[in-house]
Amino acid sequence: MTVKSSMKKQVITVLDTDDLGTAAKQFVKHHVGMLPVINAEGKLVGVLQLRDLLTLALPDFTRLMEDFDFVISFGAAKSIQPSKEDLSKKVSAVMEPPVCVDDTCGLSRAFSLLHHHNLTDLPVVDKENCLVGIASRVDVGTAILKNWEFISGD
Amino acid sequence: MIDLTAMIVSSVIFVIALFLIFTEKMNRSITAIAGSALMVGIGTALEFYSQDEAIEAIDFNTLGLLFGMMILVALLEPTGFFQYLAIWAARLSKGQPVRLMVLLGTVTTVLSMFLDNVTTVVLIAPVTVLISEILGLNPVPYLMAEALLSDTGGVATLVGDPPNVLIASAAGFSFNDFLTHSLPIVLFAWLAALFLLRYLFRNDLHQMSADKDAVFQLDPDEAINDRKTINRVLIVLGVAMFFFFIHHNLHLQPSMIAMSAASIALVWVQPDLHETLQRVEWNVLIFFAALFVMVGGLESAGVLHQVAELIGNAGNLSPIVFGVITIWVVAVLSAIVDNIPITIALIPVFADLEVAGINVQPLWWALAFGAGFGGNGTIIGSTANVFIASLSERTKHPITSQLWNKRGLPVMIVTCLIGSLLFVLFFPYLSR
Repeated sequence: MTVKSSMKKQVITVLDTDDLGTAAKQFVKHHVGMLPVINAEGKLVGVLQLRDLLTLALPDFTRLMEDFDFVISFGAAKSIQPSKEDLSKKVSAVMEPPVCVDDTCGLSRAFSLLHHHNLTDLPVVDKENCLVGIASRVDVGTAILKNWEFISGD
Repeated sequence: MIDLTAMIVSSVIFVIALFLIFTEKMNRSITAIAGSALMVGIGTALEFYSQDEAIEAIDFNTLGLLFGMMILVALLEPTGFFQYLAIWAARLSKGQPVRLMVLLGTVTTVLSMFLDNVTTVVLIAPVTVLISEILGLNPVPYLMAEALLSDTGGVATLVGDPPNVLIASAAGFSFNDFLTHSLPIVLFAWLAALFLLRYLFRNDLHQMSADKDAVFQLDPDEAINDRKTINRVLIVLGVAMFFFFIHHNLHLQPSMIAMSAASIALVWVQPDLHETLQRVEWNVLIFFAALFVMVGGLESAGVLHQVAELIGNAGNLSPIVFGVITIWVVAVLSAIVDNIPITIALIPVFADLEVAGINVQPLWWALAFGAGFGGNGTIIGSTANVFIASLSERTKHPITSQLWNKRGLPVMIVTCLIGSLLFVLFFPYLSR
């Protein structure tokens, strides 16, 4: 079993040259947690996580303090709006290097990568590094479960 | 006998090291390690410095005191004690900017008079960002005030500031000597710095909080993770302070007290030692040890003796004028390079002047004031400044080098001015 059999082939993407404002609209429109970033040739160059975008609007102290469970009210920092400057930044400036797999990759390896890097989605590429699909933790995980003998035997 | 080659070679090594530290081309501890190895290697080859002399050059009294105090702070760090104090100060300020600056600055200063001021700033700064954000205020004035006031206040005590530890060890000053000689002068300089900061940041401090009541939603008790450890470490620290007051009468070295306190605290708290040792600032200890070795080479080669002779022959410079010059020269060098190598290099020079029959008592104090106040001047002048600046880069309000020059440099000049003025006024007292 390879990851190809369980991935979704229709993928919402952003271009590396798009700005963060455009990316934010994509997140809202398609209700996703991660967007693969491709360049003009369709090659995968990075991923943009919802959390990377949200750090623009989270208080700074959440990044600086080891523990802030005791802060019950965020006071004036309750609703921070990202600055125009931040929103006009290019996706390429904020994206993370992609953790991705080849479409021939086995399911256990795919799930292990998702688990190890604490990701929810795994972009799948072909030999030319062009994006061909996306496999979520749930897609891969349930595909593995399906092969368990006591389930497949039923 | 003057060995010119040895003098030139050792000076070149030292100056290159200072240059690398100043330009930040290389990590300062790595620079010091490489410089010390080079000094011992070449010194042995050219026969002006031996391995035994290198070991002897290390002042274990200074290292022991720093290490002991670092262990105590390391135990206190994860307990939430510093958060507790900052939140307590924030509530007391009722969210009013000026009061917040005064209270946070005071808490940081008092802590850094007894604990390492870098650690203090490291632990207070994130909570400061929290407090200013929930109040809707720009954190920059509070962060800079903490660094500048704790740098200034640290000069008041023997354990407050690494140059003081060095000077005390070399000059034989006791903990109380600092309280009677340095503390009163520093108090004036500190108050002046506070008023100056109030003025320099007047525009930011006029800004009113968007949500004043937010600070009352913070419960200091909730910020504490480990009350038992706090109590134990504070008791040990209190007893250590008591022994610091009387260490001279008991003929105990400060390092002995700090190391004993650290060992008692370790036995009582029994922490995860691996975690505690990770919190110790090894790079600082290594920086010190390596600098001792490097400066030992300069001394052995006769460079520092020549400098002392040069100063001794500087003619009929009155001791008061010489002291004031020392304050300013050391301050400028500390602001540009780093106050620790400057202090370590000047100590043997002053010791040499003493041998030549000059009363160096007031010069030790001048050195302490210059090294301490000078650090305020630039963003790289003290480790606390460097930390505050790099922390602010991770926030929406980064502190630039230009901003530091506009706010910190006036603080350095005013504190040095007050230091010089009081130095002149109390010269006879400081000479005893």
